[in-house]
Amino acid sequence: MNPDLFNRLRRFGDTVDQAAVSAGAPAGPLRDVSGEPGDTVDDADDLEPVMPITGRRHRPYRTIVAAAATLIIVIAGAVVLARLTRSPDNGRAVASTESQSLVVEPSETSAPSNEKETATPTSTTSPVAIAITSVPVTTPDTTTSTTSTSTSSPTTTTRPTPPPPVCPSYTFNNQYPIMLCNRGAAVELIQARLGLPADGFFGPATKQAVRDFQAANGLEVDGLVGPNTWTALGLNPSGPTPTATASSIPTT
Amino acid sequence: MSAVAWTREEGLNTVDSVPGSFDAFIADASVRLRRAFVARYGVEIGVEACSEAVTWACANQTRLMAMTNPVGYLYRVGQSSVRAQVRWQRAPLFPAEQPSGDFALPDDGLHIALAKLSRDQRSAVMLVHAHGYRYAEAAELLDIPVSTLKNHLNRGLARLRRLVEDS
Repeated sequence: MNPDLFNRLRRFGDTVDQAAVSAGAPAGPLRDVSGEPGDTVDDADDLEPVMPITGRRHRPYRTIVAAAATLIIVIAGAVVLARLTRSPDNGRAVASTESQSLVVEPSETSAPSNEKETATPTSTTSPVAIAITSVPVTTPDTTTSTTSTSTSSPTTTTRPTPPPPVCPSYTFNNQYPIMLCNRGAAVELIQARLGLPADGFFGPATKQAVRDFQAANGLEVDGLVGPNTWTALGLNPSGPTPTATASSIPTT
Repeated sequence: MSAVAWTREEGLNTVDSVPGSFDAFIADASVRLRRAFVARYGVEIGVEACSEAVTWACANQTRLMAMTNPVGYLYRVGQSSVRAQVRWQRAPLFPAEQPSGDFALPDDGLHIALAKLSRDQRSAVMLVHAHGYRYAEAAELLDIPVSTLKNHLNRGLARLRRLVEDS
């Protein structure tokens, strides 16, 4: 225990009182009485630890203002970016129907539409601009025709991405099921049979064409090319293999 | 604790006014409020809160005199006026203890330890033990029940003892 604590507290109360009075308390005349030059030095000594408060207490406002400005800039940038990336999609959708089969086997996976731009000058510059329709890529009813081989390509399932980039990258696939965001010779065959420009990339347009074909032929409309769709397209029943591709690249 | 009768009116303006008038009330209340605010927020912001409260009191004189506990209300007014400043206040700053000839300081941690208490505890401890107010007076000034004030005192003093002994 500290028996002197109350005594110290009492003295401390007097000290605080003096400091408060000299700091400009309502007891204004008392401060004016002490008008000697030395008192200002004492006041400065007393108030020295208090001074940083003025600098500290304005800092939160600056922080809040800076954070708000940053947030507004980020939101505005996001809105502008969203508009910029959405508008080329429509242009891509219209223009992609004109492109011819220039690419036989593109090797890179990241920018598939760069070759198409050479063929179609009306197409836009964004490599991710193929997306127009946000069709749900993995519908729960994609079962009967594709479950047997769906384990063969587990990595090619499209992730549920927001609409602008439907396919951030195209994965090479020549096995059932051939689905959205796949690429390869089998996709070229499918596109050739569907009357699309056979560029070898299974984008949303190709998927919609597959769905239309499935609906027209009484197949299960899932947008995936399984064995049933593959044979209904009139392709080689042995399956999509790279060897079958080379023999039967049709001209569209 | 010795029963020393402290002079509570030190630092009080010598206002030549009629007892019971508004000026006398302000002169008495400003001293009490200044001590309470300084104990709560430190010297500078406490003084500022007190001046804000007194300014409000002069502007709302009739409204204030109709209240049952005008000093307690002014204590609330002062808290509201400096709320934006003390929102991010880490620790209130107090002047250090002044050593005197017959009293050697065992340590210099009292103002630091006081700054570590909560605002309510510090207000209670300083009003009662540093400035010598009675429980009822301090409770009226802080606008809290006396039992609450005792809770603040008990916990605040216990914590203060620990902090001082640790330092």
